[in-house]
Amino acid sequence: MSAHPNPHTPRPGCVAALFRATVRELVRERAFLVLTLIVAPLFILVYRLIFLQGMIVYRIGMVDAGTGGISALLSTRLSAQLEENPELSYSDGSSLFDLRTYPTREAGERAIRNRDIYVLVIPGAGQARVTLAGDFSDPYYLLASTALRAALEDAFAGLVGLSSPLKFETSALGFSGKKTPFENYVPGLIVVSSLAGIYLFSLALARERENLAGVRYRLAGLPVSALVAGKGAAFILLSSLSSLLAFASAYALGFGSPGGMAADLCAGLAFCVLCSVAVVGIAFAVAAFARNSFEALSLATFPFFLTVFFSGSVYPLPEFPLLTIAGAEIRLFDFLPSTHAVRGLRRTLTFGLAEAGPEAFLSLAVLALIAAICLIIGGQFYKRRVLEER
Amino acid sequence: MGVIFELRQTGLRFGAFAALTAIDLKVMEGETLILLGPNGAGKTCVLKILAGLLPPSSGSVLRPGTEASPLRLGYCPQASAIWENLTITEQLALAAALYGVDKNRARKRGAALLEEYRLIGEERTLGRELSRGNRRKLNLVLSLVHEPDVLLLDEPEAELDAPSRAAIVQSLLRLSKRGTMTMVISTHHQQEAGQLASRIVELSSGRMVSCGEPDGIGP
Repeated sequence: MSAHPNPHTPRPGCVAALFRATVRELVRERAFLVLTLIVAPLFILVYRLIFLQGMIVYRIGMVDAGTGGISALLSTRLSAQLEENPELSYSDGSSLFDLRTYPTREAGERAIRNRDIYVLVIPGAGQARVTLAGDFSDPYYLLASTALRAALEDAFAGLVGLSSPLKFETSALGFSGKKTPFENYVPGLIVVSSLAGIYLFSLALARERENLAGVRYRLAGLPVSALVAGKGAAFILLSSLSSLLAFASAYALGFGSPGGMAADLCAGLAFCVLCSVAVVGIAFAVAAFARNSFEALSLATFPFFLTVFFSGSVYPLPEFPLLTIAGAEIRLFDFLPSTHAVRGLRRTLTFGLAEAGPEAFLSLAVLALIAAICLIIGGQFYKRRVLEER
Repeated sequence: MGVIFELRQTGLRFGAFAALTAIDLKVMEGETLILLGPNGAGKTCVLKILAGLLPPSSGSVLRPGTEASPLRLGYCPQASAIWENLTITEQLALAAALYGVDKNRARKRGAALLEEYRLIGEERTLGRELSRGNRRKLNLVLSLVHEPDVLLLDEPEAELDAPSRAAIVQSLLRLSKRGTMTMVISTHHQQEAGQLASRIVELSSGRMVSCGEPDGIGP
């Protein structure tokens, strides 16, 4: 006598039928479908509006105590340096810096506090010292002061007629020096297109459970692998469409990258597809713990915000090293699939596939591993809590 | 007639609460067995145990199907287990595919069921747009699409008005008269139980009170 009334028998058309049915169900969840599809393009549009001027111009100030003094001369030399150095300008030739002068240190510091400038250059009275003052909590201070330093060295050396034994030069890797802030954010925002599926996919799975339609899978003895394959393929298809829309929006809004559109698209889709595989696993895990749509939406909030914010998708975050294994540094948020998707895609779209190749492939491999783990864990949770529910 | 299911001293507990106590029951091939009793009597628990959806806490459940030739089981839960965002035709195709029924056979079977249960004209209606009566009918149709050997029905006429209830009972009578399917039906309507049953099992507070021919049961 058998232990189960409907033991699993091979059903070749079952995965395809689940795929077709899931695509139809998702298409009919219009409100959620539209939100899922437009969230990344919307983010891209908002970021484009934020950086409407195209590039950040680092406003720096200089204390100019009076005409004829060292400050005035340094200011003139520095201004020339900033304009002449091609490494310190954007692709259209415009300078990274906007140099302003202030009559006193107090006036300059007031300008820092008002965020009128990011760095204040204060020539020392003894002529051989320059102080860079600024708000250390402002990330633009660090960027501006680093880029400024080489130009300042050259200006000072030219002014006093002495060459420093140590010469600082600024060199931008790959195409990073030509990138606008908007373009720097695009890779992370494209990854958001995959992550947005967490809500819709969790909802679709939880709704089946809520409506008892999921009972039919149990009664048919459907293996969880078939369910994950059929439904997951539909989710990934939708997610890929969302990523394509995100890419299209980025290009339409002026995004450019070293590899060209076709190469970027291939690399981008590879990262996004693997990220959506992980998202499918997360959605199955969420649905395993949610008894209805409301619980699914509430629970999905946690992985969504975790993967969006702590991966640096929408805002770059410092990476906290935890430990080193076989020479490889493991960081705090390396367990998130989106961390590797953002990291890999950002490298590819900044340095070009040829230059970022090995590191991008490493990110892709780690992402594939995490996606597989998410899928297995999500599937097992769903199997135990829904398909074998007691 | 062979035995389809056998419950031996089967009990079911949810924590301290005993939902079923020492149930001894044989379901014979081809019969229509009615589980009769008020709410909370344990009818749904018996059906869920037979369907394999709940494991018994004590005793045993024996099913004669084999791995090579398993029993094809149809289960129609009390609440409509349907896909809200699929049309009736799409739901039938999916349910058939889940059981490995080939497409042509599923199409013919689906068309016959739609006609029998008067769902013609509603083929393109989404689950969420169906009336309550049609949802119940679809719930039943989805349990029949793979031509099960055994059909387990949990209060199929629940929440329906009198004409819809009568239509469901008539359709079940037709199935019963064909004699090719074993049915276990739970209900608390004595009159309908009498119309449908080969045998009636009365349950109360999780215990089997009586078991016998329809004439020998009731007040």
